[in-house]
Amino acid sequence: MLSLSRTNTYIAAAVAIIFGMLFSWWPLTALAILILILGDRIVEGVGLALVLDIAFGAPPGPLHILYFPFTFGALLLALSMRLSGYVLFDRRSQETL
Amino acid sequence: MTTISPNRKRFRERTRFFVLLGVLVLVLVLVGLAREPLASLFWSIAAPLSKAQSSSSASLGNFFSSFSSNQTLASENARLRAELASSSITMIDRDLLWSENVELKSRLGRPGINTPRILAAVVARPPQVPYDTLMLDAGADAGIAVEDLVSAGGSAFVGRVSNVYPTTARVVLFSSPGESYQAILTRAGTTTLAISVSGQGGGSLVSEVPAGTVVHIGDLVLFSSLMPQIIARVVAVEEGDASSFKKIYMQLAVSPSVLNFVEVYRAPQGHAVPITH
Repeated sequence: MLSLSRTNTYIAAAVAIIFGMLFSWWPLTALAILILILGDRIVEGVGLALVLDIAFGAPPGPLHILYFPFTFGALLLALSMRLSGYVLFDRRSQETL
Repeated sequence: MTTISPNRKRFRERTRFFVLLGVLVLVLVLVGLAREPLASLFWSIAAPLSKAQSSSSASLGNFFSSFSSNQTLASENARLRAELASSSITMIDRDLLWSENVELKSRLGRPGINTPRILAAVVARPPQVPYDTLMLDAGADAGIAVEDLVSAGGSAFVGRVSNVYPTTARVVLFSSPGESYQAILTRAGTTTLAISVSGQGGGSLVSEVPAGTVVHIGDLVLFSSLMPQIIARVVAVEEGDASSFKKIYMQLAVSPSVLNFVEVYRAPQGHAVPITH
C-alpha cells in the first residue's frame, strides 16, 4: 500500500492522467488506477477504471469475455490487497478511544 | 479506558469492504447495460478534446524541431525531396495501371467496383488507446455501419468498424490481438497462397505456412477481392530446423500511430471481412 496522504494520492493520479493524455500513452492513464487503489482510494480507482473501460471498449478476441478488464483488474487488486492485509500483516493492535 | 475488540473491529472493516464491493459490482452491471450510450456520450465529449490535444502536441513538436541545426534540416529536406520525386513517379505509374485495371474490369462486365466511401478523421489511435483500435470522428450520422472496411487511403486497408455511435465510430485494426482473418499471400501479383493471419498487437500480424513455401520479405498479404485490398506486408520469416512450418511476421501496410485520416468503405452486404472464428 502506498504511504501517501489522500491529497497526494489524488495529485499523483491526476499527474498520471495528464501525462497519459499529453504523451498519448494509455498505460500512463492506467497507472492512475493503480495509484488510487494502492493509495486506498478504492471507489475512485474503480470509478476511473470504469470510465476507461467505457472509453476504450471491450477487448477484441478471446479477451472479450472480460468486457470490463480495467474494472475487474482494479477490483481484483483491491480485493487481493485487502485480503493480503488480513493474512500477511498483523492487524490485531488495539485502539484506545 | 475503553478498547475495541480486535475481532469486532476486523468484522466491521470486513463488512464495510464487502458492502462496498457489492455496490461496485451493482454499478458495474448497470453500466454494462448502458455501455454503448455511455461510450457514445464519452466520445462525443472527448473527440473535440482529443483533436485539440493532437494539434497542441503537433505545435509542441514543431517548437522543439525548431532547435535542430540548419545543416541537419537541409540534409533532411534534400532527402525528403528525393523520396518525394521517386514516390511521385511511382504514383503516376500506379494511377495509370489502376485506371487501366478499372477499365478492363468494367469492359468485362464488373462496373460496380466503386464502393461508396466516407472520409473520417482519427481522433484516437494506438498507443493513446489499447487493443489496437482507432476512434473516428464520424459515425452512424455520416452513414458508417458495423463491419465497414477502413482504408488508410487507396488499397491499404487497416481494419474494420466494430462499434458505431451517432457521431463517432470504433475501428478494430487487423493487427488487434485475438483477431484472425483469411487472406492471400502474394508475390509480385503472380504466385498466391491462402493463409490465416492473426493479430499480435502493435500493428503486427503472424501466420504459418508450410516449410517449403517460398516467402520473401516485402511480399504482400491481401484479402481475396476483385479490387486489391492490401492488409499487410511480410517483414520477417522464421524457419525452424525441425519444424514443418515456417512462421511469417507481417506489419500493417500503414503504421496506425501516424494515421490522421481514413476512408470508410461501405460493406456491400453482411460480413465483408473474412473473419476466422
